[in-house]
Amino acid sequence: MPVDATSASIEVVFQRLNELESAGLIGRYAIGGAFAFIYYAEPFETGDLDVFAHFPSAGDLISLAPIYEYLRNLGYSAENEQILIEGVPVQILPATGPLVEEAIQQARDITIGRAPARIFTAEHAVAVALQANRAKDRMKILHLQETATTPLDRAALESILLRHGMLNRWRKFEELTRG
Amino acid sequence: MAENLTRQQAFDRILAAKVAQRRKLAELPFQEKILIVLQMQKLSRQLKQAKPSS
Repeated sequence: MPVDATSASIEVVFQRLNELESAGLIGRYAIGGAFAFIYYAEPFETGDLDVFAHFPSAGDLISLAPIYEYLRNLGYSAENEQILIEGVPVQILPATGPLVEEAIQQARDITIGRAPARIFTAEHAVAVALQANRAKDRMKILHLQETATTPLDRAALESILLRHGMLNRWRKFEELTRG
Repeated sequence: MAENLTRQQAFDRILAAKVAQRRKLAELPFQEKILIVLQMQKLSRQLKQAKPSS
């Protein structure tokens, strides 16, 4: 049974991610997925902390094994592509397309305790969710619209969506969810 | 909440409190939000493991 996480151990999670980056096991990384939404809005239940990263590789093939090995050597356990760092389930995902690549590149710098980290902008989090477009992704967008501390930058969002060919999908989403 | 309220007034007041609470939660530091999510996961696991008492 995992030990309960504390504020200090959460800081360690990001220190470990920074170590992976410094060691060259992952490239630039940023928090995406549900936790990116949670950063900007009311917390809700979700599974893993999704960390999207560039991967150093010579060709199309990448290997997550060195990452797991590094973390296992620090005493963390990995199961089903998920690794428990300081009691926090973390999933490290390779950037799989131009939108996620851009979201990592333009991610916002944040500090967790004393640990620097990066997180998708709210607009990129929405665009990535809209690209996946499952019911749970649409719910995350609605949740953000309802509880975000600052409203979405519509111009920035539409510019991202236009660049990635999703403006029509967004218009349809807005039409269906307009209260 | 000492005064008498109509049902609608009571409902509106509860709703306003909920909105305020959601806003308060949204403004928490990220570390605290992560801890809340982990607590939710724990509660969820406990509920899934719970067996009916009869």
